[in-house]
Amino acid sequence: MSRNKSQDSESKAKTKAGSAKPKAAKATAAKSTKTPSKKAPAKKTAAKKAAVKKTATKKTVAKKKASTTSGRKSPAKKKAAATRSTTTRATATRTESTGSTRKAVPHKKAARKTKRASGGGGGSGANSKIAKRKQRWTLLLKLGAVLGALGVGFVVYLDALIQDKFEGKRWAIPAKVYARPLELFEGAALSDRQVLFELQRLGYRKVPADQRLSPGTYSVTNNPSAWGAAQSKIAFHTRGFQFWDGQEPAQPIELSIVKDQVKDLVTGKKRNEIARLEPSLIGGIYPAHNEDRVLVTLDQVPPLLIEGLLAVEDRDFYEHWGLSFRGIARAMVANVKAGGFRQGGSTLTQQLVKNFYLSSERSLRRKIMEAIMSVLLDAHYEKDDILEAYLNEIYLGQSGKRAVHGFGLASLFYFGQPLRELQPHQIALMVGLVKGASWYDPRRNSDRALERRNQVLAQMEEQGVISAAEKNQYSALPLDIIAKPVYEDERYPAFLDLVKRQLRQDYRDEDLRSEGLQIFTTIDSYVQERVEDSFQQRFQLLEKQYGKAMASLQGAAVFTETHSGEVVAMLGDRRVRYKGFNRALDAYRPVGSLMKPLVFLAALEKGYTLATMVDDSAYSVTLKNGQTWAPLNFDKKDHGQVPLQLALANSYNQATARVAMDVGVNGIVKKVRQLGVEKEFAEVPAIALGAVELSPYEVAGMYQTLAASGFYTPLRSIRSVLDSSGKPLQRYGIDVDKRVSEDLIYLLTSALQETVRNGTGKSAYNTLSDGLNIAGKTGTSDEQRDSWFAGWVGNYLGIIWLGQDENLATPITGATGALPVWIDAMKQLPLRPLELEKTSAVEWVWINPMEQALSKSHCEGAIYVPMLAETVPRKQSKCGETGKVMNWIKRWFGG
Amino acid sequence: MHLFKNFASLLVITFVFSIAGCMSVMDTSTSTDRWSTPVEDDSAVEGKLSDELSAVEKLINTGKSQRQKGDYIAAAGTLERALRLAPRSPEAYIELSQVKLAQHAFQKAIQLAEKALIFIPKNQMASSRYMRRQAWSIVAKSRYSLGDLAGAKEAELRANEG
Repeated sequence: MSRNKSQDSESKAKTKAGSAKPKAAKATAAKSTKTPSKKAPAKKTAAKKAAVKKTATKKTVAKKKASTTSGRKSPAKKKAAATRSTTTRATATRTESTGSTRKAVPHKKAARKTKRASGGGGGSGANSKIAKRKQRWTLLLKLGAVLGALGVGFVVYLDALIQDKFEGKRWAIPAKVYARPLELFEGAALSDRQVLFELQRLGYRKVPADQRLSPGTYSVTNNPSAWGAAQSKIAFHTRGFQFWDGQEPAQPIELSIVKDQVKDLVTGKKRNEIARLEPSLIGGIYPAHNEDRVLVTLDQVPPLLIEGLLAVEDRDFYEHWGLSFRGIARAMVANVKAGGFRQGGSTLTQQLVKNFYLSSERSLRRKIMEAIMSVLLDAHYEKDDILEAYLNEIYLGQSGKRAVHGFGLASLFYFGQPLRELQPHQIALMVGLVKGASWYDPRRNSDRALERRNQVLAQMEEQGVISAAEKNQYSALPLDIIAKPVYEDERYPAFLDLVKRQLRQDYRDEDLRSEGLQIFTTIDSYVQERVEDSFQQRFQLLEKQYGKAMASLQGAAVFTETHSGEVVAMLGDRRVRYKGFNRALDAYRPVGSLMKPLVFLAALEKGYTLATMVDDSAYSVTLKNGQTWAPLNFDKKDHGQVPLQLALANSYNQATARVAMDVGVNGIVKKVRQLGVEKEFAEVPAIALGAVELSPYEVAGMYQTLAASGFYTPLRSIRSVLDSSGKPLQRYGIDVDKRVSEDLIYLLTSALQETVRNGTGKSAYNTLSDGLNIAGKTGTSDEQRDSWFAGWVGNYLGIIWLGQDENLATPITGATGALPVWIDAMKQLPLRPLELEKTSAVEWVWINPMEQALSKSHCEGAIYVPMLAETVPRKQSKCGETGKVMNWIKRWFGG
Repeated sequence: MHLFKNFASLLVITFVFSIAGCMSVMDTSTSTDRWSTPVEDDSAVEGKLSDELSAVEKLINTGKSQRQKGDYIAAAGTLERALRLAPRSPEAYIELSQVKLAQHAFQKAIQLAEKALIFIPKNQMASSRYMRRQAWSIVAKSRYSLGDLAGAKEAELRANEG
């Protein structure tokens, strides 16, 4: 992880990111949770009514309201007037009471005088009674005054409480983590399966090919082409998205996929443009209370949802003062009629107050507080602000530990679609959930949910929100929810873990959990899920093959883009959704033969060639500490003199040990450092054969340098961070540093290509196309405790590790365990071949390595290898008469 | 008839020679091809590359104009997007190193220019020579700014060679 520190991160704020970001984030978060406008007493006017009308259809509640209020004082005016009259009355009462008190005293005194004068009541007893009564009155008055003062104080306190929360930051908005967006351009390496996967992941609805597309819909036409190959034409309408570098418009897009390539791309009405799909949400960083929400503004909410919600929950919302006696009466009547509790009389304002400020405790005290606070909230703020807060606050479901709040998130949670795209029957379900999200949970209690949705539709019809025909039509539809939420925190736990670790280097935990940051990551969900598939299938096969011994086998994977170092997939456990020990980052295991390429790189640098003969006979060396190091080959055989390339391709330990001792431990350590590994490890000869414990992520970092043509390229999991309003905070750019010369990389890569073509990795070509020119290396640690494969093609580098947590021996090697997983994953991806251009310093030659002389392709023992021009031998091998004959045949055929 | 006979024998000879050509053993001059033409369908690759470049070129041009306006962060973002679309585009790397040069991030500019150099075709075509000149000029300017005068001079020479 420390590698990330050196990344080229850029902050829009000119100051150092660490100090400026949280501030910037806070400022924007405040903006995002829009400060509500305080209500002017007489401001609840026609504008508000117009807003209501705007959101209503012809038959809407609003229209009804408008008609019922016409010809009399508008509720706004009425209320303003009422407020004024209340104030006047209160003042008047105060004046009167003060007056009456003044008058009463002489009056009472006069009465007492009269009583005394008349001699009634008799003597001191009567006097003491009067005195007592007087005392009692005084006490009562004082008590009243104290209680009054306390009451006023309490109301003032509640008022402050309301304003504090409503005007401050209302919610802690978790950071949202997005996968990389799918880039569409002519010639992009994409399969139709991949495009459809992406559309479905984003909740696009499939519509018939002849239907006009609207945002969030797609259609597919399969056309058999002239030569018989199926060619699918995919058309869709994007939703648009605010990216780091600007707004991606919502637009219709059409494309064909031919042989895993995008063809005939039309975006809008233009050809040869680049378009991006919106990125899919893959998780979040949640506050301790685990509340999650996607904020929506009122204009993003379908009018039907507002009308339906008001029709069912609070018909008089735009008329009442926070409390609705009419609503209570209506609920009582309904409940009496139904013979039980069916309907509540709480207004939306009361519900908001209860959720926002109070506990769910059922007591008179809470009910009184709720009533007072509702009136105060209503008096202070515009109805629309209260409604918007309600739409974002209300609890609508549960996803594991995470509580789903607000309609914005609930829409994604239940339907996988943004709120604005919901159909009327889906809207009705959401409205129905307000009454009890867990009781009517459409995933667990679908019958109950369907019944509730249809009740809502009936109420909407009763209120004139929809027609009877519409009600019947929608009531007949299924719930249309998605089986699983489109994003859940557990979906890609290993990758999210990596993202969180990197974020925590740059951001405060509190800001990540509450400021609504938008994190754009590098993960490619399609690649990730293909790696997951290959894991699951291969583990099953291994268990079948080797029995229960493999039940505790574990694994990890890291896939990156070959040149940019962007992490596209990561697995930390064989149970792909398991959120726990992340082996990709935290399992430090001996890397076995994965170290050999580094040994050979050091050797090539020292002047070895791929054709240099090395001795693979038994080898032992006494180390400085007196111990003997005597590595054996995996097959326990000696192979005599072998060319360097063959020693690498067949992963010979004895030959490698000799080379390692020649280049020296320091030479190997230097290569490990050059390739990007920073951690400390024991610098002993055994590192040449993999006695270095690295995590799969560290191995990926090391091999990335080889795959990226010798340029150390720190792995990245985050592209950019935006605040809640879409303002860029930080960008994590590409960083490259040349560590290995282009010539040496060419030689080593060709040897690693030979390793896959004819060496330990050759099973790859049983499945994958020969033209891919895969470069890779298998790795197996002592007693087969660890099975590794690191390999790359033109566009992806993949590292796979399999082994037991308890570090026990396994029956698998790198070639029989990790490599098949790698192959299974790669075969499902659109791959690009590994292209490596020969440098001017390199020549390809046929050489007889035994003689160290130039040879010919037809000569016995000749191998064809790239060599640095300066190392090409001048000596010619005596190929013999056969060679001459072959050359004659070749000339005869004009070759 | 004689003409037909001649034509038929010519056809047979051509056929035999073509088969023989296929069967002939690999030699030094042809075998390097396997490193540069790895995909099965050549026409698909050609189409892919020419079309892809035009889309990527648009991004490169956008990045260039953003740099010229002094919006270096946006330029870098745009050019990295171009690199995601075409990870082996020397033009995108050169333009990105121009951005780093403009930002006075000289080491980064050198590194990106060097990365561009590995993707520039190693031939003497005008476009390749032009790109090499550009890349080496950036290296020269950056080295000069870093006080490495000898290194700058060497890079200048390479730039002139193209």
